Amino acid sequence: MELLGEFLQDPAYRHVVLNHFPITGLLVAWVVLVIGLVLRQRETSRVGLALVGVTAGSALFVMSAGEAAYPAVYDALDGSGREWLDRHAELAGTWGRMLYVTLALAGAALAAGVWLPAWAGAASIAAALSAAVALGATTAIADAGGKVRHAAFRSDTHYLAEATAGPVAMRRLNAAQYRIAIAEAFGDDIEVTGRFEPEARRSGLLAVGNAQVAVSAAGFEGYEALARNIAEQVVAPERRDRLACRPASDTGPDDQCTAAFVREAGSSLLRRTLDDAEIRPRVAAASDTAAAMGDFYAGLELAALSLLVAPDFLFRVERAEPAPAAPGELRLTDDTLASRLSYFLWNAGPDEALRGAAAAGELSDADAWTRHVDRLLDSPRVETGVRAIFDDLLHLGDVEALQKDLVRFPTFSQAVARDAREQTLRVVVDHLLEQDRDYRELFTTRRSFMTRTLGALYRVPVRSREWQAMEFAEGYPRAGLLSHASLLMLHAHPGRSSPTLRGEFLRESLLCETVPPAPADVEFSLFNDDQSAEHRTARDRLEVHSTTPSCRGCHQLTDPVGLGLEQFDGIGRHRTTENEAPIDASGELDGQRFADHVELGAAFRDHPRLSPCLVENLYKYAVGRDIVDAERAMVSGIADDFAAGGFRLRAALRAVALSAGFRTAAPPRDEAPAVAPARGEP
Amino acid sequence: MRYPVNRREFLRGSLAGAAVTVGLPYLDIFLDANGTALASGAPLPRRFGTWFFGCGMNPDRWAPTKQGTDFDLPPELAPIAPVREHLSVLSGFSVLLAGEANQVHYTGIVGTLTGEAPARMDVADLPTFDVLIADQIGASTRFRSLEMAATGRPEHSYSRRNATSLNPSEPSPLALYNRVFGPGFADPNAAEFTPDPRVLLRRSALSVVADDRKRMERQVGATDRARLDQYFTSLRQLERQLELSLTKPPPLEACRVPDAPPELADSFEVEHVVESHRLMSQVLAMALACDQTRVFNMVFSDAASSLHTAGSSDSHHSLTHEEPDDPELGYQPRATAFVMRTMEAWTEFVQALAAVPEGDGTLLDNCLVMCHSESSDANTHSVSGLPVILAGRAGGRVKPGVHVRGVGESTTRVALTMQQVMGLPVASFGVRQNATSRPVSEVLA
Repeated sequence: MELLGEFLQDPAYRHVVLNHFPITGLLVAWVVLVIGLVLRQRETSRVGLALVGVTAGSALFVMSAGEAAYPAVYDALDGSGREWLDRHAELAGTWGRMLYVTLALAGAALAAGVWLPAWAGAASIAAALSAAVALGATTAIADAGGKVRHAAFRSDTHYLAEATAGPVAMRRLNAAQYRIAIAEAFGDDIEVTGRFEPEARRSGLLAVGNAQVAVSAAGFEGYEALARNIAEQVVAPERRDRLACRPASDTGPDDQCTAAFVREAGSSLLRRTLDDAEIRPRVAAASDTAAAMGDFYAGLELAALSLLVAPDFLFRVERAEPAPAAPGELRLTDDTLASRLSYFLWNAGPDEALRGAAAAGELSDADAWTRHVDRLLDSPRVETGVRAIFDDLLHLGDVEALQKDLVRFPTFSQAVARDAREQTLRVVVDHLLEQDRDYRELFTTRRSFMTRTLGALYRVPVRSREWQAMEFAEGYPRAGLLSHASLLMLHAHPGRSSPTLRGEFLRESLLCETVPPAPADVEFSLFNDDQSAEHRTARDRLEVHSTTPSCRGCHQLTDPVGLGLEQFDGIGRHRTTENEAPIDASGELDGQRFADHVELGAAFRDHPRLSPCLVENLYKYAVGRDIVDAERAMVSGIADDFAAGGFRLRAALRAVALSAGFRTAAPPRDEAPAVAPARGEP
Repeated sequence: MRYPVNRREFLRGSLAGAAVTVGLPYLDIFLDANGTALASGAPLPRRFGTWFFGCGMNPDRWAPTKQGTDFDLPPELAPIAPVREHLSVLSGFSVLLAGEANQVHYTGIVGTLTGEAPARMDVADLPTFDVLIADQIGASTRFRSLEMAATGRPEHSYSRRNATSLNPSEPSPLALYNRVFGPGFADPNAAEFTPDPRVLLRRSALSVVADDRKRMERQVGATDRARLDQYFTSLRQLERQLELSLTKPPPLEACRVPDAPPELADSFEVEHVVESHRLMSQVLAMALACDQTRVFNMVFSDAASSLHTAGSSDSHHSLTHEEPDDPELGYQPRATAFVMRTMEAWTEFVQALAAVPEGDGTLLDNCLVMCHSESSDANTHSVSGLPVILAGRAGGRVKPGVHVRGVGESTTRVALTMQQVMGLPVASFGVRQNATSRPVSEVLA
């Protein structure tokens, strides 16, 4: 009892305990009243009226407890929870009045029963109607209230859901991001030539792999060579005009000028404001060198070099800090939020406005955050971001490194591969951003882009030397992403197509399914001799997969889908026969029959896993790791909204950026959380 | 104090403006009377390397039947006949699965190099043992180790400190040449030595970053701290390189700076890869003779070999699985042609090292190279009876010319032997079923 008393001291608890009276209680009361009225039993009606009055009146206590609880609850919530709390309070303020109206009417009806029996019936009916409206109101209020703390209930705007995110990590810049960072910091005429460390694909994405890889000795040598070359260009005489300041003398140190340079270049390269402790040693070393070599710019070169080989340039170091309102939980620091957002949407470091907002500590504010998300989404730079996302998702970066057998495919060249990759990216950007169309239609669209180089492969005449937009005619054997030469040549062998590789890619990358690896001790030798007179098409050869029990399980996932693309050879040229035998490209995708790859595209468009898989990939790409269990509901909520909103990419990007998982972090299991130092501390 | 001399003074005194050249007498006699040490008294360096090829062989046609020094050369070993005196063949050694699934084209290589059969792909947290050897013998050279892939792909490398830190391969003979003999290389036998004045500038930039390490480490969790450690280890390696480049290297008789190899296009076509490998071998031989590194990892073909022949629709890998056995021959003729070509390339590699005179023998005599693959019979992804060939004498510590059969034994015995020969103070290697404390004593001198 004492314990209960203690609980009841807490207005939030009181609110939660008592709120059942004006909802469930009122419902029961209303039912009693209605029964009384329908059966014309005066006594029952009276009991009903009394109950309606009492339960509606209890709202007074519920609401006052709610108001008292508001400040403490508000503080303890994340941004989305707060939005729901405010909505809950607003609804209660407006519609909660219906409960008092109901109380008044019930009282009036009881009074009328005693003093004005002629009016009693009408007053009772009015009270019943009022109670019905009040019930609707309390249900709506309670619905919003339930979502304040329970993310799983937030069905209409799921992405506001609370979630326990995974840990943050250091994420290595890839070559494209490195180039953009250099152009942003020093101008786009700086040449970046050299080698980058190979990337690693994890959980289907390089973006996830980049949060796991380190820098080897050979890799570091490469980065340092890149950096030296860049630093030399930065201080070259023809570029000195654009530096942060002019030195007092070209032949000696000028610490102020060097500090200005380090501060400016550093905040661009390191994506945040530099501490004094980071500026001072650079200025000192530059000063030494400038004095010794009698050259201010030698010192500046050193300063630039020291920024370019800093681990927090090559790695985006994501940091979390305790969330002030939620003890035990971590939120990302403002600097981390700024970088995470701009890399997600622009594939680049944060611009000055975003860095400024981070430095001012504004980004942990939900409204400011939403404003910045929308600002970045509205910028033309989002095209760069979307290209990077689909490059990763569709493995397009591998296209240009492809090797094909030039005896079998004499028309294949690096130029063909390069244009094939660009074609896919152009279609993606055009369809999803410029036309703002349904993501699923990417799998059926006949709109494309062509160059003369690609025209030969696609067998369409191209007059212009430039890229040109075009619409494939009805009957032309290509439609949608699945018929893009880039994907077809990528998921094939050097000398021929591969239904298995294509099927595996489509299942894993586009539907987020897992295709298990082949068993180690499998006997393959019965098939795939494509010179065989007996087995002239891939379908004949792959028949063995479906008749051998140890193969069938996995190959049933891959082969039927991949065989749908068999009318494209190893570099994506259309064909109708293989070894003079006609190619049958019909099949079934999870219950949907298709006659050829065009219908296969339509089957993908209609596949229930297609759009949730995109959302999952966008989320993993954004946070640089796999989805953890505690945030699955949140991610599937984003997918639901994506569907409800007509499968528009921008909406999905926005929802991911606004989600709790994007902005928070879980402490690593094996240790105390990595905590950023307080602002200003060295 | 990070520098032996005050940075400012050194810059002013010797390096500002025009570079000062430091003349040293050219030594006519490099070696001591015994031919086993440099004139300076330092012994000739011992080197270690791996030579990897993908997709194994046909055990029945590869493994000798007779053990000991009088072993036979079955058909798939016939190509090594010209260098047989330099080699020992180890057959029958396996990666023991220890209850784990066989991760195809992965378990065989990770098991041999780390001593652990991996539970999943991409989770090999133990270092490959070449890295352990490099830590021991590679610290005094410009490069702790050199990795290279004749297939032209940086990611075709199996040398790693852990799952997140792969040592990428040089993808072409020219890239390897530029890394070793390009800017930053000082010819040990040049009469004049000119340190690059920019080296101090670079060192100073690195030291600013290195001094910031503590602050960085405070800001990341344990997993990332390990990655940060790797970063600073790599940084220190470059600092060490720069430090070495400031002093005149001791002369080396065997060192002859080679000409730059031609630029080659990227290709998996087998003859192209053979040519790339031949050129890489020559550059590598000189990198070793000029003591730029003492540890290397050569990838001739990748695990699940991407090699193919011009005009064929199949890769070596796909042939191992899909080509029917020839009923007359009893094996897959097209897939096996790649095995033969691989053994020929290995022979060429051994010859490239043996062609460089060093001391009173050859460069090969001061090397120990382990040739290996991730499969034996690649058709079934077998990791039993993996092919292993050793080359060289490791400066007299190893005795070539024997065939040792180790049926049912772990390849970790070979790995342990390599480490002990290279001077690592280790008594055992490998985990669980693959743990061993028994070196392959038959190959020890």
